[in-house]
Amino acid sequence: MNYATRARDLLLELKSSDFLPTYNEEGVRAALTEINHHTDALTDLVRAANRSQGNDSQQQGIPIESRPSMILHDASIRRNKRCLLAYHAYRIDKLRNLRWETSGTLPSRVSPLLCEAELEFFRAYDKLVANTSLSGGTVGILDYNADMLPPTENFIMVRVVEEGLGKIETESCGVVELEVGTMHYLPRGDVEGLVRRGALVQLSGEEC
Amino acid sequence: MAATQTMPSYYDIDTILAEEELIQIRPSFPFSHLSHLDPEHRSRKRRRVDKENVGNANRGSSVVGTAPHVLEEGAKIKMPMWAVDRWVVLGFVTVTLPGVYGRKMKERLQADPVSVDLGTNNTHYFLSGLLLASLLQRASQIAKRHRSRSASSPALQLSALAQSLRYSLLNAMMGDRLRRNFDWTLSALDAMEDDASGHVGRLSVLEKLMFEKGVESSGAVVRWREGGSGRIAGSKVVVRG
Repeated sequence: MNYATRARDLLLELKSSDFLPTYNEEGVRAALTEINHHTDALTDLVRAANRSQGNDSQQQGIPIESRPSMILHDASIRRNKRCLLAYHAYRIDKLRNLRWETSGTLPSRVSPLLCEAELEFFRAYDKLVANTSLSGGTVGILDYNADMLPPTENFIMVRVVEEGLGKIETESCGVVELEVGTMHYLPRGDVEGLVRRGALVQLSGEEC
Repeated sequence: MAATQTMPSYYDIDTILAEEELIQIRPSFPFSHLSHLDPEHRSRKRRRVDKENVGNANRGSSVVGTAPHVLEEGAKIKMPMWAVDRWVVLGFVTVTLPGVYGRKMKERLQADPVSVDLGTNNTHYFLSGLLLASLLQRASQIAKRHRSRSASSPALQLSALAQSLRYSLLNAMMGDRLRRNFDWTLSALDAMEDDASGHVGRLSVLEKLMFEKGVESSGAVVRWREGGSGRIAGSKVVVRG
């Protein structure tokens, strides 16, 4: 019998990846199957111990020789559970951070790494943040994505590096067409999300 | 009074992996249904059966076997720390510290702490050591409670082992290794001047984490000096892609 080796391998996969490895459904299923095996084995041991206790009226409680085996099965169940929870918590944390880094746009190279439930989580979390931003309350409409660091200027110079961005509508500059290679001097708040997701590059004074 | 200890995070992956450190144990009594844990069980059983057969043949009686699937008392086995945690705490087994926490390694770390390579085979050296010390401390407290009226020498032994382990880990981590690590965090960004890969390769996971945080902070200071907080940082995922 294995003792949580598949669950450990899931965590090693996470550690060896730069961002996230592809969701390992087979590994998760193997860990769940192992939990079931340990549960069955533990149930059998407890039943056997109870039976022998019933037969032997002088014996009190579970015999000490059987306890280590029960404890080991219990530890294996807990270990598998912990590894699985840590595996999913790590991935969910990464997705949550990604939502703030990219203002809700899932980069194309990330989507194939996620399972259906994770994609659904990302969409639902994005929706939740968007709804909270728009709900207003006492402070009015507040965009939590704007100005992650205190801004030093209202306008910034940017260069377009991604194709197919089309036109954007800004508050003070009207409609601006973002063609690859063009440079624009635009309100920081309007383009911050695009810079963060890598579609635009902010230029400093020397680069302009 | 029990020493205050910080609980490691339940979800922390490095802590979970650090608990995979193999510990050598010896059962204090026979363990039922666990003979498969002892790699030498079969050969030992065969030897014993042969001996019994010879003895029985001399006496002219039939073979009498021992209980099946029993891990014998005193059998030497290696198990991950997480698997033996409850056994150690309940006093079901006696523990021997892994070789990497033994005298030889201590001496090497005392003699030249900076050059010891913890990044190849002992990546969780400090984390595993701290968890092991905490386990021994818990076991000693339980043993003390259970044997409060009698002489509690096992409790004292475990407590002394835990303290000595904790002390040696602290000495190894907080001395020259830490100073050198912080030095590297300041110069690692300048790849033309210094190549940090040799240094990073020798670090344990905990030290590597400190190194990465240090380099990140050094970079943030440089960026802030150059452009204040006006520059928008791109998403790390996008930049790497």
